[in-house]
Amino acid sequence: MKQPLDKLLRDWAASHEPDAAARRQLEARVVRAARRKLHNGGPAPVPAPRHRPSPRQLHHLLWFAAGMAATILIAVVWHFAAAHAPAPAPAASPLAEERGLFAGRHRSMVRIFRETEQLFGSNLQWVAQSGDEAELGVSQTSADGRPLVVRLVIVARPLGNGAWRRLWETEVVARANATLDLTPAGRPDDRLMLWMHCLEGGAALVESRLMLHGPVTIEAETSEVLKFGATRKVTRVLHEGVEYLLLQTVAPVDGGESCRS
Amino acid sequence: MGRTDKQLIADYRSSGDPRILEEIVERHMGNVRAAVYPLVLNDADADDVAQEAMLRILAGLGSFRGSAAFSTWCYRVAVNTALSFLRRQKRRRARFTDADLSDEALEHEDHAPPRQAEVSELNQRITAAMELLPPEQRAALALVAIRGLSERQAAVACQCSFATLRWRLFRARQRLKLELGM
Repeated sequence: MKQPLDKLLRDWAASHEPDAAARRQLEARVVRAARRKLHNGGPAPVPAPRHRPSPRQLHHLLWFAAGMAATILIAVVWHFAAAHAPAPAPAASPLAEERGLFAGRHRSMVRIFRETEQLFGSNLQWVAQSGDEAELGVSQTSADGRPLVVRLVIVARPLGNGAWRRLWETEVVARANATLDLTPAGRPDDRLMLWMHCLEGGAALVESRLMLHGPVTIEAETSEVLKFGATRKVTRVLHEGVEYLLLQTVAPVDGGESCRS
Repeated sequence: MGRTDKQLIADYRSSGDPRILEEIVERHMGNVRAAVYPLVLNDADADDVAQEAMLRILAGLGSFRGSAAFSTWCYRVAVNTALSFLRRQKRRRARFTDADLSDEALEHEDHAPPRQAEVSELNQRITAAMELLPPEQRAALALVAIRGLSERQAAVACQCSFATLRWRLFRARQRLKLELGM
């Protein structure tokens, strides 16, 4: 190795610099956040960072696609917001707050699902969104399960203190009986698995497995019957003086109580 | 001839024009990102930390006194932000070891021509060697060896004495040469 060390280091560092497009994207992200923070008055949360897909992330994408033979992963930029920008959940009762939030998120997810469905028809299996980033799964065969919107939220508070904070949240629209198995790009240890079965009478069986690695590691495996539109606390964990809740709310995309799509 | 950094900051202070922020970001984001990467050693984390650092820089424009060059001040904020991030992530960083390297190796085997594969192998060795250094030594290398700051400027950015900075550089280079077989 004849090259001087500093030259090697400069070349090494240059190989890890973002290309022009990624740099512009990063700059735009900062400018947006700065305008919100500095020019809209009052503190605003930094938006959930968008990870440009690095070669390693693309590798994970390939692995994921190969692992799910029936599902084609169209876009990957899911994000575990907890490690970056936890959003406040100011309500004394997170269940009441969630019920209020769900209506708005439901409308938004239905719109996204319907728009995406125009492109992929009944081949569209699921759409998952966290923050302003989304993934979707399209199968090679059509599916007829009724699409359901489910929202998963983790909130936390110091034990005995009434101020809840929202640590992580995601919304998913998935067809009943479709299996969603999602490994967020760049976070190979995190995983969300979800399967829902529609029940007559306005409810769904929601089975989920969630592994999130942030300031604390959260693993939850749940199987719950949820009434449409009712937020339910499906897991409670106490860890080092902090209380964590996993909340779920589910409702069909197009209302009603029937399981027919 | 464009405005200097100090003129830009003065204009921003007087007008509050948010477009000036864009110009500052455009000028300095590259430097901040490049200073941060050798500390965090991960592209996605480098993007996040660079964003956090740049927001701190913009939020602190009102308090920038101009005793050092603005670019040096930016490096200072970038290094501080990265060191804080590493302290927060200390537990998690233990996982970024062999698995990540083998993933990168696979990508390059799949997609890169042989020349790049050789470079990639060397890059991996450098990354592995950098991981062995204390963060403060990585910061010194990032600023002097990679970004080309003088040792005095780097000492200001690292908030340490000139002698400490030189010692960190010496130790870092010595260790890297040993690890890389130079």
